[in-house]
Amino acid sequence: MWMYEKKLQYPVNIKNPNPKLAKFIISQLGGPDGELAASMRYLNQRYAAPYGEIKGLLTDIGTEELGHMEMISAILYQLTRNLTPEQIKASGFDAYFVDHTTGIYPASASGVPFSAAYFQSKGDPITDLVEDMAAEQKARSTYDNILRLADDPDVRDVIKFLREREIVHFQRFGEGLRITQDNLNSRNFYACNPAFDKNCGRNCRRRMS
Amino acid sequence: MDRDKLFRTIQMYGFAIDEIVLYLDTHPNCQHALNYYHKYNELKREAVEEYNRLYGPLTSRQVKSREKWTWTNEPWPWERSAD
Repeated sequence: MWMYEKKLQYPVNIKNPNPKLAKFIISQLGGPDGELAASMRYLNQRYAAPYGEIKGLLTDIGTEELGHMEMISAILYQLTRNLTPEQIKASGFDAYFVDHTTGIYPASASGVPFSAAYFQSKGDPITDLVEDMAAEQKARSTYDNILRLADDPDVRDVIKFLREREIVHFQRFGEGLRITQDNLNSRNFYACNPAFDKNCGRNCRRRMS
Repeated sequence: MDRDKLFRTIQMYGFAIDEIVLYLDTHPNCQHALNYYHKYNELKREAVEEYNRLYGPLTSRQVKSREKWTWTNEPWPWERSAD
């Protein structure tokens, strides 16, 4: 069960509306490496996690990603406030505007709506954790690209915070992978799947070595 | 109170609060509902406090141990039918 806290994880205070920036920052809401995909990936993968540490990690990072979704949405909201039809046309925000006005809709920078096809839940903890590590790096690259394009310091400050969180999550998932492998047969991590095969893990390792 | 009974009590208080919160969202001036909210919020707070002390955390911010991180202890909610 989840509880909502009426605060952002890190403050978002953007003084100048700028729909040009919103057009590509939206990818971190509903794009292939965005925060919604991240949250759904981890929260759905939890059920195949065989150890308490991994269940905790996926729960806690999946929950934090929901908070990041809210921060990206706050950026988009603040970048698209008080726009005139002229500003909307001049900025190229018109294609989004005609479908959603200035409402927040999860889509990629190229306008593709969010899809669960952006993530996998494979039911195999090594596979899932390796995907999670790659996902954090892909999100980090996306934030690096956003920083190459965005000049507003109010926006850059928040994007830099989110970029750092990707690096921390990557580190934690790496440790989660290590914990998982330490529970498996050190001569062959792939001998069995601890999320599916019976007696796969600590006992298995003792018997097989 | 034994663990399962206390847990079930917290679950009932929690749901009572979930319900009254929705009602108060659209009836913010209903004194009767507001009294109900405060009553069950307090009952739940006391029950959760006791649960944390005797059995462990329900959120990652309720770990009482100074020696061991108990948040990741098993089972997780989807692993036992009582939840």
